[in-house]
Amino acid sequence: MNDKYMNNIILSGGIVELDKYIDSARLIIKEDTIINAINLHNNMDLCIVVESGCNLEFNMFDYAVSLETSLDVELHDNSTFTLNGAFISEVKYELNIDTKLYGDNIYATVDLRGINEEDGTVKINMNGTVAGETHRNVLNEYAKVLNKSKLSNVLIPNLIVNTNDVEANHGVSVGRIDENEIFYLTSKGIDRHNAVKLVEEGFIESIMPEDVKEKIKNILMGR
Amino acid sequence: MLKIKDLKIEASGKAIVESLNLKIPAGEIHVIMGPNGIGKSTICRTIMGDPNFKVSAGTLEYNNEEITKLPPNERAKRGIFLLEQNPTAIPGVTNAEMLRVAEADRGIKESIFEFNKRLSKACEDLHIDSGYIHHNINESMSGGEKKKNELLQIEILRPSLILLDELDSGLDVDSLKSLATRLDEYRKETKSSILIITHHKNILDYLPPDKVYILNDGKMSMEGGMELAEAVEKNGFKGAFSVGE
Repeated sequence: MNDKYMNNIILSGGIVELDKYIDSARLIIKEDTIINAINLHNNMDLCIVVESGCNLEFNMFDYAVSLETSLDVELHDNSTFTLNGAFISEVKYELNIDTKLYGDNIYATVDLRGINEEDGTVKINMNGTVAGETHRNVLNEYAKVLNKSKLSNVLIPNLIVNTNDVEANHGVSVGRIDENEIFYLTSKGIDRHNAVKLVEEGFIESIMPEDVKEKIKNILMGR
Repeated sequence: MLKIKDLKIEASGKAIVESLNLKIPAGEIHVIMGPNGIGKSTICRTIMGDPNFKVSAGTLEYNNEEITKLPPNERAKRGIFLLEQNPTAIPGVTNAEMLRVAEADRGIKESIFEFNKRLSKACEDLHIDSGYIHHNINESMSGGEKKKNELLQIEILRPSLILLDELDSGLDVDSLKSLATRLDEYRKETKSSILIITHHKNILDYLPPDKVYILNDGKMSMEGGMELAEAVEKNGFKGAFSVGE
């Protein structure tokens, strides 16, 4: 294990609301766990180890002025990992995620949705590694950004696959808001500003479970 | 009343509809029929204010107010509602959220309790599952479900002019009958008007028209009543045009 993580935290199941003061730690998942990291506003450098047979759902959202996050995820036999990550970048949002599949029968999905505001930048490095001599693994990595920025969006998906017995997919997209959706909402009598807000928030909330969606709605209420 | 006078509609610099004239008084049902690709849906979207279509000549008036230059939300606030052939899905946005914002933007103040009560009653009246209320707008829905969903919105937003762009497409016979019958009841209750775009006369069995027009070459080439729709159903559009000649 990497020595840079001095703080080892063992998680033995349930729903864990991640503490905003955790900035660097190794989280060891020993039972089925849901981690919520909602609007923490702090740079995080986490190593997450999902032990054999355990399931982890990690829901992450930040409405960030400036944020750098690094996730190093190690997955072992018969484990599952789902990352639902959403963000709004006001100035800078950087995410490095490294998903490593070290065993057999692992199912991993990384799904990221973000909005890059007018003065924002986004940089996402999404790496997935499937170790050699492993079998029946599935790895999916997707990132979509709605861009309003005049600055930059850099999304880099990498898959390093060292076995033939795997299903691995990745995809990234950067696009503008869909004007058909805006027309639809304005044709119901909604002002353009509110229509844009509804579409944007729906876009980032759509990947989240219901309870997390509600928290995000409350955070974005005054946006 | 909707009044369209000498309307010319362009998209990407190309004229789609030329010199269109139409008057739909309150409470009436008017129908535009015509072959595929002739510009029928364009008329609906232009009345609703779709910025993809440019009005290069003529005027649109609704209830004695010119609306040609108004954006779609202002037209909707004045009572116009477009039910599209394939209504757009909005991921992550529920019907309840959208309708709540639509009411707030109309200046309607209503408690969340009253709003939910009205939505539940609308679902009951329409015989649709109350799950529609918190379902993302038209997402993962069949053609028929989407149209029921739009009807739910009509019950809440209470428009006075409904533009039905091929309501019958994607609907089975029973669903068409039930939706069209409810729309006709709504029209009678509220004295609202309906503009129907269709290829077939089936829908007109439940929404009896006051006037039927055939659109051809960017203009209304024929005008009549139910007998014109029946002639189209029997002889096709070419047959109807040759009778006209």
